[in-house]
Amino acid sequence: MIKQTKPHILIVDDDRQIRAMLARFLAEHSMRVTQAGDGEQMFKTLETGRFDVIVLDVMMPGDDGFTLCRKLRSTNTIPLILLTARNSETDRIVGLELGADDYVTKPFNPRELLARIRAILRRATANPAATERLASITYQFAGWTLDTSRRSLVSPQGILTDLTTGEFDLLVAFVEHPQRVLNRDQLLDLARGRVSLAFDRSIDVQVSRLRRKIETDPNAPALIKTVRNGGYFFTATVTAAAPVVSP
Amino acid sequence: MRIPLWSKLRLAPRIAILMVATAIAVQAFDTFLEHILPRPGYLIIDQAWLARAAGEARQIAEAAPPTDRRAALASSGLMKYLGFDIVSQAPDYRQDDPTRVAREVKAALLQATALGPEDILVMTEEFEEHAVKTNVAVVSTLPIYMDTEALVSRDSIVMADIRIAIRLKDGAWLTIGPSNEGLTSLHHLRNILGLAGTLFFVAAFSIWMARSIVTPLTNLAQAAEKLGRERETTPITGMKLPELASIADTFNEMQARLKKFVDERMQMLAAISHDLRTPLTRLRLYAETVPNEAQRTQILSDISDMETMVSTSLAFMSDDIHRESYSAVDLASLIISQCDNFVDAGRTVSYQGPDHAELTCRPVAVRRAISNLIDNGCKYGGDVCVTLTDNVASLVIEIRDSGPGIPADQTERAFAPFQRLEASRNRETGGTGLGLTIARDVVVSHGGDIQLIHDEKSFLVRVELPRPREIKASRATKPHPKASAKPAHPQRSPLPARKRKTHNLSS
Repeated sequence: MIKQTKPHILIVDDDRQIRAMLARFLAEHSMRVTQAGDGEQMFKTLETGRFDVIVLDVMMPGDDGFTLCRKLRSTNTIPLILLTARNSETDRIVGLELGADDYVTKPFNPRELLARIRAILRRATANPAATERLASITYQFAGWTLDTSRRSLVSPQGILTDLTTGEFDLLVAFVEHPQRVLNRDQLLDLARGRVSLAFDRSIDVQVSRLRRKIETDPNAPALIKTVRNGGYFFTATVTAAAPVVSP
Repeated sequence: MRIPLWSKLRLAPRIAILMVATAIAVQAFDTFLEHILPRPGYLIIDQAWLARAAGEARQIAEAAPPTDRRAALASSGLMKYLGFDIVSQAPDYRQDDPTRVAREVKAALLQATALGPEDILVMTEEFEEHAVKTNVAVVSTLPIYMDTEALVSRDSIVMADIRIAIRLKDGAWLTIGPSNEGLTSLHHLRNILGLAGTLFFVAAFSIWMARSIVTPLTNLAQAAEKLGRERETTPITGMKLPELASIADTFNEMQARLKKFVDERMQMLAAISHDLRTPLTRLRLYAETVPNEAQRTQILSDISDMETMVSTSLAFMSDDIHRESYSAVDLASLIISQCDNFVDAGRTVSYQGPDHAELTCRPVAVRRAISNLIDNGCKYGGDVCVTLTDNVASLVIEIRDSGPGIPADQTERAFAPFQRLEASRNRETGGTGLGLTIARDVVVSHGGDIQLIHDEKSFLVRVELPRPREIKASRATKPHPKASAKPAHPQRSPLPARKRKTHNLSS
């Protein structure tokens, strides 16, 4: 990653201690942090400067994170990470469909948050136009449907196929770079960019696990082909579609 | 059967009314039976005539050659009231019949025939109410009063039967009895029907009564059985007896009170668990500032344990398990993912079974159940082997570990919430005692079955999830909002219609 000026993060949380400690933690990892205690403060602060990522708590007195997220999205496109207190799928989907880019469930591991902030920053740097609703895209390939906000994969027969976090991130890396040879380092980097922690197995193990689930015949793979001395090649044509946010 | 005001009657008057009804029914049936199958009639004979007829019959019989005696008697005109037979041996009639009729008839016969007392036998059968033969009244003089006393007394002139035997000259015996014995089988039938009818009415009315009391009690027993096992109350309705209706009302109120009591505590616990997340988040952040690497790891591991407890408790106390909608899921991929997650966490978990196996279920709930079971296996048993078998009608998941398992007498306790069988287990293992409870909750809500089995060397948790047979449109999963809003996804909509429906298991 090319080091430019320190990225500027805005933390919005009603808990002063969490805010302060998080600010210290991110500052230690070379980020500039500004804090806000509620929605009102957040909008005031936003007028005062330029921010790269907003970290927004959902459970707050007054306007909650979802409301603020909707308000924010009507005016700007700054990448947004939600801190959801409930580990409920509905909450995550609502958050992502309201325009958040990612979510972290409380109590979160600060390193995971850091990894996600970095991933978002990297994507924003790589393709500034695509910053909007990065986390909520539906991909289609060979009859399969991969929904990144639900983190779900549906087979051509309409059956929900379960993937581990590592497999899911690997598959996203493949569908985002279809019909291209990706070597192990590239895959590791692409997949780690999403979630860095649960990915300690070698790429080869992950690929073989993934093949078992999505290939018709895992012994003669048709979707993910091995390229000798090169890595892997995702053969299917992928179509992507951003979701329509319900009014 | 609808009787006005019947439903308001209490138990005692109901029983009284039913007993009266039974008596009336039995009586009515008897009357009806008498009407269609009348009792045998009475044959009233003058004593002198009988003696004369017997003497006449003897003369006819003696006059005819032995082979023609029956024919001669038949043509005598005596057959209208009397029946005759010729037997070679003396019939085994009782000697010296003590009844008045027997004595008088014998005396008259002796006088009319001038035979010795040993040549004439007379036997009578005393009158009985349910006689199946023609009753015979032998009267010496007419007119005569026939009162009840005359029928039943030992000296009665009315007999159920009367038999006379006279020795003929050649040693054969002439027997004489009433001729029109009618169809005795019909009279037997009436007697049997009468008894059967009485039994039937008594049985039918008492069974009806008993059922009207016992059936609602069975409902009550079932509701009581479910109480405490299921979180939802089972209100008892449809009680007809006022006494039982009041019991049902009281029971329903008790259920509601208990549910409210439990719900309040659940909500409180859920609120506490929920609020614990903020301090846990703070702790996590504090832990990052601990300079000592070993200490930090220990603190983070403790925090992680606490998080697990909080999220397990929340999963148990919230109704999410029962609210999630059904969808078609590749159960094999789900189990493989769980196994791989444990492998990635450094455990030894293997999977045997097909790569794909479709089941319509609540995926998050099932994932949690399977994860809990594998987790238990890892914690208490070490190496775990998960097997999936597709039996078409159902899917069987077997989670096998080599640990000590759960003693058979503690099985029920193991499934109870917040129970940890610490006696045999290491306290270090942590957990909230909800793992098996949640697993069973999920399996049962899918109409399945969970068993704990010990075999020679290993401990086995066997889960059977049935494939729902009926597909009901009423509980269809909401179609994917994106898919329904965007016609630009052609691959999503042509799914077979069946896949989009969900299966209603819980009702």
